[in-house]
Amino acid sequence: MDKHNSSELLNSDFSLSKNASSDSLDSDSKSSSLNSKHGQESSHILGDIQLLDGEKVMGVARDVTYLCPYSGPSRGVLKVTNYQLHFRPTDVTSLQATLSVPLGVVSRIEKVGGASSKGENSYGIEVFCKDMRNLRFAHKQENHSRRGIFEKLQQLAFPLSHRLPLFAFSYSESFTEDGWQVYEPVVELRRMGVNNDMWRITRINDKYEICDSYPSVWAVPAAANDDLLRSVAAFRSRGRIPVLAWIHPSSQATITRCSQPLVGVSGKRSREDERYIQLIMDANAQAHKLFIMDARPSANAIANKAKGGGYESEDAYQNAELVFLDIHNIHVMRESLRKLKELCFPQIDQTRWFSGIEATCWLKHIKCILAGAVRIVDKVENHKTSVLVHCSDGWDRTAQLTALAMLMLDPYYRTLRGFQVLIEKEWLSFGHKFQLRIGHGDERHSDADRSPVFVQWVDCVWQLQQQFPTAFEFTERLLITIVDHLYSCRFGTFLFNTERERAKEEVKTKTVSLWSYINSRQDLYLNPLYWAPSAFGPNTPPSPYARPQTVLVPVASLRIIKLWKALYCRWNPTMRQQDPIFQRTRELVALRAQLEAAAAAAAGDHAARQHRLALTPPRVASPHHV
Amino acid sequence: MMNEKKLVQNFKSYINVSPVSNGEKNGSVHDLKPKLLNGEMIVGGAHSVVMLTPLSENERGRFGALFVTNYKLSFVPIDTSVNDEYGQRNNLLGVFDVPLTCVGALWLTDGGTTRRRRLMPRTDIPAKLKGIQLVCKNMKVLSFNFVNSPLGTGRQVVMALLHHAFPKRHDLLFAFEYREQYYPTLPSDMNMFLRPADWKRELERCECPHWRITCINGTSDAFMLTAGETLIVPKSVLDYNLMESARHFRSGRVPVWVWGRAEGAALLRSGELLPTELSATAESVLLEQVRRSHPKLTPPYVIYLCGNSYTNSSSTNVLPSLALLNASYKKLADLCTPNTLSQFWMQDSQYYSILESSRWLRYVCNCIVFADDAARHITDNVTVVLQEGDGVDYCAVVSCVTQLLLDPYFRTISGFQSLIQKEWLALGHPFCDRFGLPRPGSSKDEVEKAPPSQVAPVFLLFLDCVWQLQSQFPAASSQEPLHAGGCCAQSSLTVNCNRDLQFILDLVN
Repeated sequence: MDKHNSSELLNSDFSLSKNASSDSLDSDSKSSSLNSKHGQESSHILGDIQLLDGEKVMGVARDVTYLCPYSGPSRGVLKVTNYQLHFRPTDVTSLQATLSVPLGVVSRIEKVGGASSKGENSYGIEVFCKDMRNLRFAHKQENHSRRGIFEKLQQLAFPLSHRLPLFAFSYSESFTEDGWQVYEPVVELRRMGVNNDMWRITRINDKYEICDSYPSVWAVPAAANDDLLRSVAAFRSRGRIPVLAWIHPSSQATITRCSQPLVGVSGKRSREDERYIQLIMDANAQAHKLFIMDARPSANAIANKAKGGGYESEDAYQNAELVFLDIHNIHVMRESLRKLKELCFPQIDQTRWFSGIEATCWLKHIKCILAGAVRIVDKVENHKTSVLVHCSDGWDRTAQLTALAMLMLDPYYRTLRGFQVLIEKEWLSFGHKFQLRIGHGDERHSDADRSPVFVQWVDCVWQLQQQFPTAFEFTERLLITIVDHLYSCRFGTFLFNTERERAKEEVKTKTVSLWSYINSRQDLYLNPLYWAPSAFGPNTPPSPYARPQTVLVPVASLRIIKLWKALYCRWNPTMRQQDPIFQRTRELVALRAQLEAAAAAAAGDHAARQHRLALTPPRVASPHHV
Repeated sequence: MMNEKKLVQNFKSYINVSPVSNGEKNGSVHDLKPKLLNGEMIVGGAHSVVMLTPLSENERGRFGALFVTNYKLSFVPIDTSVNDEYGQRNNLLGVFDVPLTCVGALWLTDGGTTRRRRLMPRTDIPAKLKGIQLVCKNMKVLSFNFVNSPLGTGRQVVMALLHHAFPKRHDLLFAFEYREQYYPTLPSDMNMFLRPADWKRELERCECPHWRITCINGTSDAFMLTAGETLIVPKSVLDYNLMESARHFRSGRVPVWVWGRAEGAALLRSGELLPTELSATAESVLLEQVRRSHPKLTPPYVIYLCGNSYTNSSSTNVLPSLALLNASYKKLADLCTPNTLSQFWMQDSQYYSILESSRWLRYVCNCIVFADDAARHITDNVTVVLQEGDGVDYCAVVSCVTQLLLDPYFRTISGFQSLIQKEWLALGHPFCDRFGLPRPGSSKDEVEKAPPSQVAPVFLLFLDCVWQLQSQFPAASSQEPLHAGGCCAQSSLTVNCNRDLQFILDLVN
């Protein structure tokens, strides 16, 4: 049963996207590349594993049993490529047990049972995955297939630990659109009206010398000169100074982001930093106050003083009000998701399901993040006050908060492209440490730096989608696809920690962007219920119902926040949506496009007719006018 | 009374404003009138009332007039806002209207949200009334403040409310006063299950030739007093046998046909056996007749919804007694009707464990599991007989859900209405008892003598099951048999069903 979902999201549009992108990769070339290695195999088995461009089969183990927790054991062939682990049952009737798992999701591999193991299926390997599942395979002791496949798996699943390149650097599929063009920092800043009187674009960090985890292009208060920026960088942890994330189109209230100030136990101050914060406040003429939202619980913020960090004191920063948002750190979140995995996989205990969810605290954390973002939105939108957001380093919780608040405030980010821009900007360019948090190709599975921070943010976005089903141009499918390829290492998008590293490794030229893949088949992700705010011109008749909202303010209450079963419980066949809702969604999207085209054509006809009528003089002159 | 706090857009505080400044004696406040239905009349009212914003700690609200009619409690705000139109619109009720039968509890307050004392019929009410709070059966909580209203009018409203919201006799319900013209707008494919011909239509639609219609229950020999006159029984069974066997079933509920397939499998529902000596024999005789009505002569499969009283198999997954169901619903309602903001957040932090401990979702889940089991057997061409208590509560729930799973027709609007007509009205669900309304025909004396009726939200349980199916199958309107993943984890919570319930109630009456 597993095949259904894993391959649906990772590979089923594979053939479609192939067709969409290029026809040069027909089935002949594929089978021939396989034939050269496995010529002895019959052709229908060959057709079964679909290799990507640049993918090669590296190891095969026969007579392996996949122990599916839901449909039971099934015998078959296990293949390992440089991209995926592929299992195909020998029995044609149990093809639903086919597995196709990108090796990027593998977090650890263990041998189960030794030479002395007795009992059926007790000797084999277990693969622990980052996407909330484990896979068990049983090997026959007598044919010694385990060792070879285990070593191949170790090597290919953790290439970085074996000095090998990630698959993204071998993957060579070409798409009609280049996803690396989606985000241009200057274009995005210009969209928000920068440069303007108050904000300017600076390339002071062009060589990543001021801050190596920040992007090369920043928007800073126009009144702040480069010297000031340099001195502020010295007072902020890792040089992550406050820079612009978003600016309100009418009130000019801003969201800025940074890391914690280096206050330390002695309570150090920096006149420059204080002045710079004042400049951010002055850039917004509407308010005489600035909110500093510290994402951490206040206890953690105080504890950070011992490590040289801390928080802004309200005495030093006049007109600034400090708020702690009480969001816990990456370790707490990792532990919470681990508990959730225990609850969701493999079997679900129905009698304690809800109290189990409560005990993981996952939804409580989601609630805290949503509530924090709502506070930011409230200050910016309703009080026209600028908000500065930071946590400790400003690349985990800060990114969650700013990206979420921007999503609530700006309908542009709720479009398919805008969402990609948002991720590129707030997460990738501002240096969320994807490599460290996900551990791509790295075998140190218990590394304390790993944490599902980004997945948690995607969950928050999903909560927004649930509360505002018409506000997003895309569906949950896009979110799941993003999460899948966050781990898969097929695309270069989520590799490395910072923009600087990506530039150094030439990710843009050597790998394919996830957005190339997604944007070449946009119709798969469109939401038929989407109600774009721009669809409401002044000529639209007033609706008796509400208009589409520009600003989304979700309810951050556990009564409304739900568990994202389509993500966390998707391997369990009993937890899946049973309707072919995806099919229906696509039908509706197509139908809607048809109707819109027809309406536009009709409107055009109407306008033309009006135009003609206006030109021709009235045929009968009214006697009154004579 | 309160500090002037910063107010958010749409809400104006009237608490601190003196009544004089809010319009003179002949001001607009006095011209407010509720929208009345035909046959509806105002029995009490108060001007210059403030309806407090739910869960507002700083006592914001809206200004207007409050009326009690013989049908509803109606608040008419002085200023209408676009935001009032949200959710489902309703032709009988406005946004701020509550039908009187929907009023659950009435509390005397300090004018804000702090409850002072529960008001029961015939309690005395102070003339200087600061405010009241209503907890409705549909989980709405309304608070009104009378501080600005003319002295005594608040009391008048409360008296009218107490008098009319808890009627003593069935014929005092508004449905008997309602004088709306009848428009014959029923869709042609809807089946009301009123006449034998309607049942014949259903038999023909299902292509079930091995069953027959009997009208014995419409004669003086009626044995199933809570059901309509038409019953469908195995072709081979004689009316006389039915009457005989009925003595061994609770409420005379012998197994009757409700739905079937052309292949032969049928769905039947019945009451529990009485502990008489010959009841087991009577049951097996009837089940044998059911078997003969199957073209393949397959023996039927009996599902004991509340456990089998004979084998006493204590399965954990049986449905609870009605009293337990009601208690469960009360817990759920408590969770959904927080009184103050602090209570809201207190419950919120433990929302999931409170929800679980209410067991409501477990019961919803059990119903769906039973229905899924029944549907699987019927798909395998095995006839299913549902058996439970008086055969009018869970039987109806499970039978309906089974049919929704199996028959796409019932997933259309008119099909769904037909289903309710068949299972809940024609086969007699005791709506009045379950809603806690006085039974028809009973006078005041009789009411006091009769055993207390069992209040339980069985119909709501059914609607919740349907909602769960809807959320599991959002696009299923006309597809092949569905298989419900009957598990608690799939369920979530529905809240606003009770309004539909009130409609049904009106229809019944």
